[in-house]
Amino acid sequence: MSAADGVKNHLRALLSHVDKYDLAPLRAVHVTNGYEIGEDRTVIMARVRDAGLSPVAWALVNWAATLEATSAVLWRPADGGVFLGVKGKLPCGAQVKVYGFVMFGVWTLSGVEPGHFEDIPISRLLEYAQTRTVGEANDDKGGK
Amino acid sequence: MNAGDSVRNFVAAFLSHVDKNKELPPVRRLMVTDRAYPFEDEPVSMCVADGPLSSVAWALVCWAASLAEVSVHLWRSTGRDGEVQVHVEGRLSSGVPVDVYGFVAFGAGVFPNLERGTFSVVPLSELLEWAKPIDGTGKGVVV
Repeated sequence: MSAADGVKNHLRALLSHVDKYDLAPLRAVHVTNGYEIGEDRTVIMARVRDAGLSPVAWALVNWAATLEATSAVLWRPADGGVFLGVKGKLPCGAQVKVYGFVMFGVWTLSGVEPGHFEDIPISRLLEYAQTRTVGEANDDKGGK
Repeated sequence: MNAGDSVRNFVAAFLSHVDKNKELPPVRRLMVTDRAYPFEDEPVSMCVADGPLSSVAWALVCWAASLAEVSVHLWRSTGRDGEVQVHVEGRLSSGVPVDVYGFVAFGAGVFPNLERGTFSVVPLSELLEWAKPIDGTGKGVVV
């Protein structure tokens, strides 16, 4: 295996990980061979399907449980809605970020102003995962 | 495996294609998107080269040879550098549509008539010509 095959190897690692843990379907995957991803050495970005707060948080909690050295974030761009994300390593060592857009249920997140960025404990994701509104009751499978 | 997981299946299709076509130039960056989202581009898009036209064209010719239903187009960016993207669109062996592209710096006679923001379809034979090493005259390609 050469460094030139980085994208291929990362995809292979991602695929076997997704299959092994039967993780929720993704909306998008962005993989690079490493040379242009920012300061933090992330080579795989995966986006879970847009959904309510609880299913997005569930999808991310499941990912977090399968990755090494996991951390979580919550952020809201200046011009948009709320995102949740987790960062960790696949068993092969490749750093992966998994994130999701919260379509509704956001009202349970108090104080999240546009431009907000916050590191959160994984336990907070678990709380969000257990937060169900009436509107989300039929949508708790994360689009799976 | 989840049959409803199209991103997962597109990734698998890509991997099986590159396993079958071992001589393909390496991919630098790849995006796979779920087609359930109507505003996304082709489900698989990938950057395979940037640099001089001849090397970008060569990488794209190799990819084109492995794909079905190939078409080629140029697009000149509206950004500050106004670089030219050369795209090859086609289908993987499994039928999944892909967009394979490379970047060529604008300038020094490369596509001098291609305005910013312009899209231009070119024949595959043209891409083959570009893949030949440039001669010593420094002359670029005129589109």
